[in-house]
Amino acid sequence: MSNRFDKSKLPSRHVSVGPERAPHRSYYYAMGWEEEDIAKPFVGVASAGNDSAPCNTTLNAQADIAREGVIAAGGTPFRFNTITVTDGIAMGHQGMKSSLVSREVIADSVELSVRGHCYDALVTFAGCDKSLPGMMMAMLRLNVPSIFVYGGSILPGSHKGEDVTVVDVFEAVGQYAANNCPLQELIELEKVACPGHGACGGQFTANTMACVGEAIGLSLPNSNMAPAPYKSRADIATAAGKQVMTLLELDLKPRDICTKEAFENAARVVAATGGSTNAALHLPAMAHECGIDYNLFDVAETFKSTPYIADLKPGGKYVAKDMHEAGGVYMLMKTMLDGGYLHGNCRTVSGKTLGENIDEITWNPDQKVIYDVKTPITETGGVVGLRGTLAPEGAIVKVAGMERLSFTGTARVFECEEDAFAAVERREIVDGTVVVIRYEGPRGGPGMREMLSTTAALYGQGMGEKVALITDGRFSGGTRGFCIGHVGPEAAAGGPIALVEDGDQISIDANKGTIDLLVDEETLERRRKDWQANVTNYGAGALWRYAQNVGPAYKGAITHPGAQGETHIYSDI
Amino acid sequence: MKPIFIQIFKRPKLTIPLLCLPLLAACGDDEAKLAAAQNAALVGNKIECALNGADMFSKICATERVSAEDGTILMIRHSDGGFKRFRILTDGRGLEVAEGFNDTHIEIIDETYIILSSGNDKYKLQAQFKGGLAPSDTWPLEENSRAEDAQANSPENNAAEQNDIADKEVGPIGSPGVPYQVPQ
Repeated sequence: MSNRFDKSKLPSRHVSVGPERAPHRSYYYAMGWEEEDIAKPFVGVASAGNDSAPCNTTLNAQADIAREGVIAAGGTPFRFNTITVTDGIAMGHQGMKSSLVSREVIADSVELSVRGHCYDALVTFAGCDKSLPGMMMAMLRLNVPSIFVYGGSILPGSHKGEDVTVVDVFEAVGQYAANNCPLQELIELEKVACPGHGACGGQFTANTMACVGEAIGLSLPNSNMAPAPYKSRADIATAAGKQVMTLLELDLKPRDICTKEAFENAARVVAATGGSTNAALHLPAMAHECGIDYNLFDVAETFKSTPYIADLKPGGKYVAKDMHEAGGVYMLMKTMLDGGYLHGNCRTVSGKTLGENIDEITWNPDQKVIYDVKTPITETGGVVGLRGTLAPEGAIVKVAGMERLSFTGTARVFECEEDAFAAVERREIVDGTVVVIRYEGPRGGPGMREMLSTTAALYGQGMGEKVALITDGRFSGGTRGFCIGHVGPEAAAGGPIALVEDGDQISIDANKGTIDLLVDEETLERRRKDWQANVTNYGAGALWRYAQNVGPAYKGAITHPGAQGETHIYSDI
Repeated sequence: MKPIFIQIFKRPKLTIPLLCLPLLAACGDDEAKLAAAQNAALVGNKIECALNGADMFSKICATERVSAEDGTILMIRHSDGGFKRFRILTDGRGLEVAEGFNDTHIEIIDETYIILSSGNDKYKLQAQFKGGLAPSDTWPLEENSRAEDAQANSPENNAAEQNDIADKEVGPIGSPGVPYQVPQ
């Protein structure tokens, strides 16, 4: 089998070929590999597996099964691990500032492990929020033949006969605070909401980016919606291990797959599923890794012309397991391609084009989760880009499931999420308020926290559609209500959001894509002269380092020059 | 009431006790069937069900256990007089529809409940997993007993079942219950 590959041209030759590499080979013999194995291509199997949260608990087992696939197809696998920060646990406290930073650490750590050990190909396993884009960013950065595998979602919990997810627990906290939910019921709910392994079940960030993996072509067709506990995950892991060897043989690399058109496909699928606004941060960051200029406004433009067709939580009824049973991401893409919303000629890790993969699918009119594009839930995407005097560098709002698409109200300004959450808990937020939470941007937080605890608490109090919330931070994929995130420039960079004062009028129109601060320019100029940047509580360590390097949200909050600054690509060493 | 232990998964071995009703008299004509169903609904062990594609579960179905020549039948009666019969299997596959197209699907909700789906109907059944559902013990779960059927049943023993599987194997990539393969 090893004859299929020319080891003299692969990166692993630097650690395994020639007399001078005898010490290196000693380590491989120590781990049980034979001469024949060392002569084969080296495949890194990167796992974000750990015990920190159920989204990650099956990843190491799946990665180990992928190793078997690599071996069966003539490669030698090396599993290594990276870190994760699970948003559901980091949420609502200072720990959330580590979340987005972890995306960069994951990408960097995979890059360093692959560079250090000279792997020729990569299979990556992720299950939780930032680890998905982090892994895909690493794949694009390194540009060795790679496959991304999602660990799968959790099965829905059941409470009083209804499917529930962890977001129901976040919202129940708000109901409890509003005396609408007895403590005992909250405790009962928290015990049943997450019944086992897997990432959050709704179309939150993990499932959104899992859909992106398939739409952009980096994941095997219809592989990511199978829930984490299912046995088919083992089959998919084996298939990924085998297929990466085929990609190595074909020399089909991530940057051959992820073209501008592929990013447009991914953005369309995000919009069609009412996916997480985080995709508008992660897609530009992924594009940056391969030198494609694809920013928030490009994402928003794609969103604007995409019908919303998947009835998924948090805006809709169903969870990822239902999506899987309805035919998966490819069933969704079947109707989208038929409707002319996708570029079918983009290549994928199957070795075939997206269109050829979709040809394998027969549309199922009987399933209830995915609507035909001819009869969508709404005509335009579930996520909308905004721009205006309050956000010259743009902002984003998830409108899937919302009845109200415009809002004008009175600003109530908070300098951090904790202050806003406390005000919500005290029930100080009245109808018609535009809650502004600032200095939560990539640099100002630092770390661009998500505000799920605050938005869920508002929703739990029945205020979800009666107030709007604006931040230079982020919102979780689980957020519901009129919540605008990614406002740029951020307050720490002196953006207009830094100049808002209590009582100002703010107008948002998701139909028109506008967000405006209704204050005259003379007043704003006076405030601008008095403005001073905030000082964060992070004067050292990873968060300090991140704050020094991070760029604006509309470009994906990236921390390095990307492909445009490359002097070489790893896969060419 | 003695629980019946049925095995749903092959790896690891888990067992589920289904709490069923005592046997009700089988009836020959529609009126008698309706009477029996209503009787079951009135006095039986009521369970939550979502019928005809309904989203919400209501406690309007009732279960009973029926001994048959080829094993034990779980009978679930609907409040409108309709019913479905499921054969309780002892070979580790769980349940299958006793007559007609076998579209049974079992989904674990938590350590105490499963949802049994058949056509447009769903039933929430009490279950107890031996040893509980500790994460480290339960990965991976069987996705769909029919996939297991494809490997476990020989064609001569179950031709109808094999036809069903054959149909599924030409379905979409990654369909539930179909072994995953990269499109060639």
